[in-house]
Parts: sequence; structure tokens; C-alpha cells
Amino acid sequence: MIITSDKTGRRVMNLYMGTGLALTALMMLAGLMLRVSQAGWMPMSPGQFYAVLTLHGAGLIVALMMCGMGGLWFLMRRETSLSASTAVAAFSLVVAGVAGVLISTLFGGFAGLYTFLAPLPFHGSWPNWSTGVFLISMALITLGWMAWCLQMLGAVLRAYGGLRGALAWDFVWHRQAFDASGRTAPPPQAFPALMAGFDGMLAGMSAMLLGVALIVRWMDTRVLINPLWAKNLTYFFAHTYANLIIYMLVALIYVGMPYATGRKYHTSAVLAVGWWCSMVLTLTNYFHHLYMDFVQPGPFQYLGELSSYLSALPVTAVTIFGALMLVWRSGMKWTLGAIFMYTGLIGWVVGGIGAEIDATVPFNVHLHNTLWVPAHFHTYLVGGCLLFAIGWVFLCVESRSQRRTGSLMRWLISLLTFGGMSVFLMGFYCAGAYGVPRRYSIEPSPGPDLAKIATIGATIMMIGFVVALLEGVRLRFGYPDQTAGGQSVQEARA
Amino acid sequence: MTNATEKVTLMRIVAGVTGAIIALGGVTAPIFSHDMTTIAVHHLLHAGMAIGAGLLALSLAPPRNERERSFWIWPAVVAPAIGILLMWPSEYAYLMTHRWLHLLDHLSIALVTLLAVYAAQAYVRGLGWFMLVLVVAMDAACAGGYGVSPGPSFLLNPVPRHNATASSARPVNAVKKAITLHAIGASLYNTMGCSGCHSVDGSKGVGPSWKDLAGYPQKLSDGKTAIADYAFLRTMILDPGKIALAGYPAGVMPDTYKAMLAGPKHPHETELNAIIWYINSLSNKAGKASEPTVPDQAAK
Repeated sequence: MIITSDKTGRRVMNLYMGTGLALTALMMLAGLMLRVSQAGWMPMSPGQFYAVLTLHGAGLIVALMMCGMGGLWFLMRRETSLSASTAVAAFSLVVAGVAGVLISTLFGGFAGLYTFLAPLPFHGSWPNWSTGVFLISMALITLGWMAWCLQMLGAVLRAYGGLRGALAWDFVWHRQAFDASGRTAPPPQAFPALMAGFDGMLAGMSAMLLGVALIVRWMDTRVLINPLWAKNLTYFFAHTYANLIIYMLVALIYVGMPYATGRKYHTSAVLAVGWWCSMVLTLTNYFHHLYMDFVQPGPFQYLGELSSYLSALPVTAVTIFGALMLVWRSGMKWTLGAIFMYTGLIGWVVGGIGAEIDATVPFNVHLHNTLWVPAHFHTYLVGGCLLFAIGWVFLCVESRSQRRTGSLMRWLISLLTFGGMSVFLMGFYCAGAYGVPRRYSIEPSPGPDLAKIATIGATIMMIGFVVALLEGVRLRFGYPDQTAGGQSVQEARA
Repeated sequence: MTNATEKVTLMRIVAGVTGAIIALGGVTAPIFSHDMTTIAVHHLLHAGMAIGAGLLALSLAPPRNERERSFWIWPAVVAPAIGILLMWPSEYAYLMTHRWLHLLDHLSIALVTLLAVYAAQAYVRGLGWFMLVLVVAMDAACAGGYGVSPGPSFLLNPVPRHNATASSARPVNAVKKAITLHAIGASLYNTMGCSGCHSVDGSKGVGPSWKDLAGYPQKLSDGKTAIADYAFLRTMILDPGKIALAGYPAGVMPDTYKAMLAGPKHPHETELNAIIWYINSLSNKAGKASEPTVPDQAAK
């Protein structure tokens, strides 16, 4: 069963995911503008370019984060009681923060980039107020995020008997006694919830510390922020946020793929241990962003490379391999929901491999300041996270709709979306391999030529998403009238 | 009452009393001692005080709570941010001379910590411990880089704030200005990242050691020799590309210090002079030629 009769839960999920996807669409348009500008077709001034780049980066991360928050919240509400008003209040804070980011970048011209790495926010040509609005907005987003994380962490602790139960510790180490006691292990989607709550709180606290320190620095120029300290905090929280987005959306895979394949995703000892590893390694792999900071203590650099490599293992062994095995010979119907989810797994793998290459010190020296890095995180975010979110939405809609998507339409959407995406992403990868620097409004050759190809790819991809949206609306209007109370088709049939 | 319940109650009492003693000690510290160390150490003392307040909160929180009390989420996430605001580093110097206000500041930090931990524990049992670790880690992490820019504060105040926190507030006179600048330079050496490449004990690093640098002849990559006087040192810091030292690869020293130390935003180049004073203090050949001119503001 993919949808419950819990109307409030559905509304909260729709609020988060609907807003998140709408914001994603807006940020994709902003991203398209950037590529068009780099292609030389409609050049922006450097000031405009970096302001839009700031908005695009911050907005897209928050948009996809909202999708993950809504989806995971909905799944956990099926397991334990969760206050909807708290979730809506957290959502309101995030939305208020997003509004502030829009104001500071579009009207204030703030261009301190989405990582707002100190001391960059204080050394620009934009007005001082826009720096303040941006920093306060990020603090609001962090507050909303932390409230959501604390609620999620509290939910798993209450539902599964504290941290030991939520980790499935006894299930892994004392299996016989565990089975004899009649207890059951947490479902697979509880692990992403625990990880999002736990790691999210750690990341949120570091973001809040840095955010308040920067706000204080903005108000009082006597305050000095150590750049290395700030960079460590920045990448600790930002990298963890970015990682958590996909880990949150994996919960949708754990529920969505079993629905699509008719097979169950079991909690196993391997799955539990894999998630323990991910919880730890996600916190330490950000060091690969500081390889070039020669003042960073050496042991952290080794730890960064090691944990960057190790963090791929649990993901591959547990989620990706597990999902592939679910699909293997399951006779799964390739509905749009299933197609998007499955392709999202491919995007995750490809983006992950790109990240691993960048996390390797000898390659990092050549690739880290090039478009290779945007290549890997666009693959990861657009080719992974976004597809998981869209796939989930389609599975939900398909499960209730009496209409079905025709084969031709599925081919058309797949071809436009994934074909366009491949061309768009290859523009980044090739430019990175050629050493085209990232974060340049005017790129050296062959950057502009590759940006032209990427722009065409991105346009095709976005047309594909628009067609998918129209198809989603068509399916939505196919809901049966008699299923009052929001029951699923299966429930109604039962 | 069962044995287990009695044990838990006893543990709560012990934790509560211990926490209260630690927190009370931290809150009242400004009354008994006013010899401030560095700002970083001050941050760490706050973290210690937070441990006490957190333990007290855990002992006060409801022992059993199986259902969600979502109201408590909000103080739990907002209070730590207020705590960081209360640790506003540039105000420490002012607080050192206003001990009751300082006590109030400490009391507020202890109270917001208590609130954060209590609220987390009241929300869902067990989360209070997690919150305690987070808040203490946050306060302690401040020691890593949440400090004061000595230059502007030196210019803004008749009694240098940095100096006030470094030892105690003293009147400024002509002799002590040099000492003050040297101390500021030593601080900048750590806070501006110089220490990553330049040692002060003569050991070889990415860049030349500052020990016995000022006043000494330096070998250049073109085979010539130049005395490290004031102009040389100034150029090396602000325009490192203009001088290539033998034995050190070109292009490693960042050229970003020019914007941070000179230009319209730094008309008196106070921080730059402080660094050069510090370099001079490490050399036995330092003299008039290698020392900077004390800025006009400092001479007043």
C-alpha cells in the first residue's frame, strides 16, 4: 500500500513536495539562464550572473530537501504519531527563508554564492542589507530544518524503543533473543529517518553556529571569523545536507519499489549495518572539499579520502543492489513512477562515481575547480534526487488513478527527459575533463561551445518534464469519485 | 519503589547537584575572577558551564514521556542559537570591565542551555542527552574561530579591547603601543592563516620562517640579495608575486592579503603594521629600517 487514508499526512506531504517541486522548476529555469549566458547567447553581467548562481544553488538544494522532508515525514507518520502543525510550522520557516533568499539575490544582488563562504559575503559590491537578509534567511531555513530533524529523531526513538531499538542493535547482534521476545525490526524507511534526524541535527547545529557567527560579523565588523574554521563548518553542514537529501529520498525507494515490483524490502542485518556506516561516514567525507587548503591538518585529508570511498560501499551494497534485486525478474510494470525511480538509481550511481573520482587526491588537484564538480552534483541531484521525488509522485498518482499512461507517452517522456539530461550533464563532464573552471560567468574555450550543447540538452530535458507534468495532471483527473476518504485503488477494491 | 527506580532517582539527584554546582561556578566566575585569558579560552569556559546547566536540565526534565510533546521542539532549536549570540566575542572586553553585566551574560548562557536541554528531553526522553552534547560542542567549537578582529577594535577604542582580553585593561602610552602591536600581530599570525606556512621558531615550512627574517639579507631566485626591511616585508605580504625568494616556489603565497590588510578599507594599515611588528620582534637584527611607522591614531 503506497497511500494511506491519512488525509492530514497526505496534505503535509503534498505541501512539502508540491512546493519543493515547484521551486525546483523555478531553479532549473534559473540554471538554464546561467548556461544560456555562458553559451554567449544572452550574456548576463557578472553581477547578475553570480546573483542568479547564488539563488540557483541555494534554491535547488532547499527545494529538493523539501521534497525529501515531505516524503519521509509522510512515511514516518504511517509508523508513529507526528504533529502536523509542527511540520507545517517548520515548512513555513523554510519558505520564509527561501523568500528571503529570493529577495536578497534578485533585488539585493547578493552574490556571495550558495556556500556563502566567509569572508566572501562581506566583500562584494552588493548592498550591505542584502548580505543580512541572505544570512538571516539561511538561519530561518536552518531553524525549520532543525525542527523537522528533531521531530523525526523523536519519532524514531519513540516508535522503536530508543536509540538502540531504532538502530536495530539487538536485531543485528542478539538475533535469537530478539526474535524470541516477539519484537520486530524497524522497517527500512526508519533508517533514513534516523539518519536524517541524527546527522541532520549535527549539520543543523553547525549551520546555526556558523550562521549566527556570520550574522554577528555582519552587524559588528570587529568580529573576526577564522576562514578555515568557517570553511570546515560550511562544508560540514552543506555537504551533509546535500547527502541527506538523497538518503531521505531513499525512504521513498524502500516503499515505492516494493509497491511497483510486488516484492517486500526486508530489514536485514546488512541493511542495518549499512545504514550505521552511512550515518558515520556521511559526517566525515566532506573533507574532500578541503584537499587544496594546505593549512588543513593532514589527518583530516586522509580521513576525507578514506571515508569518501567507504561511504559508497553501504549505499551500493544495501540500497542500489537491493533495489536491483527487487526488480530482477519481478515482472514489474514499467509505469512512469517505476521508470523515474529506477532511472534515479542510475543517476545516483553515475553521480556517485563522479564524486569518488573527484575525491581522489591526484584527480582532485585537476578536477575540483572545474565543471566536473557541478557535473557530479547535478547528476546526483537532478538525475537522482529529483527523479526519486517525481517517481514517488507518479507512483502515488498512478496508484489512485483509473487512467494509465500509454506506451508511446512513456517512451516520449523517457526519451526527452533522460536523453536531454544526458546531453546536459555531458556538457558539464566534458568541460570538467577539459579543465573549464567552475563558477566563471565567462568561460574560456571550450566552455562556451559545451555550454551551447548543454543548453540544448537542458531545454529538451525540461520539455520532457513539462510533458510529464501534463501527463501527471491527466492521471490526477482520473481519480475515481467514489473513493471518499482518499483510499487507494487497492483499498477501495479490498 | 523498585531498586531500578531508586537508582535512577539517585542518579538524577547526583547529576542535578553536580550540574548545579558547575553551572553556579561558571555563572558567578566573573565576580571572583576578572583576569581574562583569550577569547577562545573564554568560549571554552562557556562550554564547561553549559555541561553543568545541561546536567541540571536533565535532572529536572520529566522522567517518563512516551508521547510527542511537539511544543518543546521550538525552544530546543532556538535556544542554542541565542546562546551563540550571547557569546558575541567583541563584547567580551566590555564585559570584563562590567562584572555584573558579565554575570548576567553568563547566567543567560546557562539558562538558554538549560532550556535547550530541558526542552529536548521533555519533547522525547533521551533527546536531552543528544542536545547537551550538541550545545556543549557548539560552544566549544566557537573557540576555533569565532573571535575579534584586533585592528578595527584597536582603532575604535581608547583602551584596546584585544589587549583588555589578553591581560587586563591598561592605559596606553608610547612604549606599550609597540608591545600592543606586537601582541596583535601575534594574534593575527594565528587568525589570518599565516601560521599554516610560516613558522616562528626557524623551522622550514611552505614559506620562510619569521624567526630572524626582519633585517636579515634574503636570497632571491635571480641570485641577488635583498635586506628584509619594512618595504621588503610589506611587499612580501601584499604583493608576493613581486619578490621571488630562492628555495620557495612562486605563486604559493596568496595575493589576497592585500585586500584584507591594505586599500581604502584599511587606510592606516594597522593590522599590516602589527604583523610586521611581530616579525620584527622575532629577529635580533630588527631595527629602524625594518620596523613600521606607528599609525597616527595609535600615537594619540
